[in-house]
Amino acid sequence: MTTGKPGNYGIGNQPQPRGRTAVWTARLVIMVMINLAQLWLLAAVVDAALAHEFKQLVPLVIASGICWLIALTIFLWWKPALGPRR
Amino acid sequence: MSSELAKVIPEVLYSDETDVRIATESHQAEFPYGRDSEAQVTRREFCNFLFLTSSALLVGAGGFAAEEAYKAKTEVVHGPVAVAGAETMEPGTAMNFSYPHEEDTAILIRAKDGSYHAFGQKCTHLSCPVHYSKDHDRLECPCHEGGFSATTGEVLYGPPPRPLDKIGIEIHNGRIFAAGREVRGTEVQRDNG
Repeated sequence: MTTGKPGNYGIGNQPQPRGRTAVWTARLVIMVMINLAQLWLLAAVVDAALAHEFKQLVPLVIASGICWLIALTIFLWWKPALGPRR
Repeated sequence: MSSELAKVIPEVLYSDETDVRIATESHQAEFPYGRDSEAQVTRREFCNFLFLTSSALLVGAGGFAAEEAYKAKTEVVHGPVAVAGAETMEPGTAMNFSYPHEEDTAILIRAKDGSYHAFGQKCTHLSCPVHYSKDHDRLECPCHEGGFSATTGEVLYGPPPRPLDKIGIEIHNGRIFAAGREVRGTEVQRDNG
């Protein structure tokens, strides 16, 4: 099953099965959410640093690191299966 | 050729993208490139970009935290500095000065009872300069209507999250000295009095 309009598709834009499209989209959405969380954490780090609340900095940076690790996991390993299941 | 180009240029400049493509269609043979593929960002490319952004945010957070922690550990204790003209202040007035560096603006208040209090002049909300309100005997931030106590520097109302930086005041031989600047965190309670 393929989706997409017929026409001249560039590299990376080939029609994909709907399942693969859904996985790619989910991957993208989760990455966006992780980025938003990290943006919030960065704002919290800046606020804590300006207030000289140094005890709060370490857990915030660790949380940002965990978000990055999750993003790395998704980036490296969360990909649709290459071929159809038999 | 140049007359054709002269005709196309106004069409391109004053049209939206659809018209641009239509207008330049006849010239595509001379400049053949995959416009559709060039314009589109694939999901894969966007995911790569998001991962890079995530890495940049982590580096930014870690770097900022490390820099501030290092600065705090290596902070130099500044000695007393005389505040010129403070001795002639009337009760219920304020004056601006800089301490410990030129860029660290501060405000000295002589309260109605004659005591001196000094604070950093940067509002803790978004760094607007606060001013002394004689009518209300408090420090006010004009940007987002924040208010601070003129004697303790604590937040009275408004969006500021923490008190103003407190500057120690010493009086020697009738002269006023600023001694030490303390950044205060959010553990200080709001002054509702």
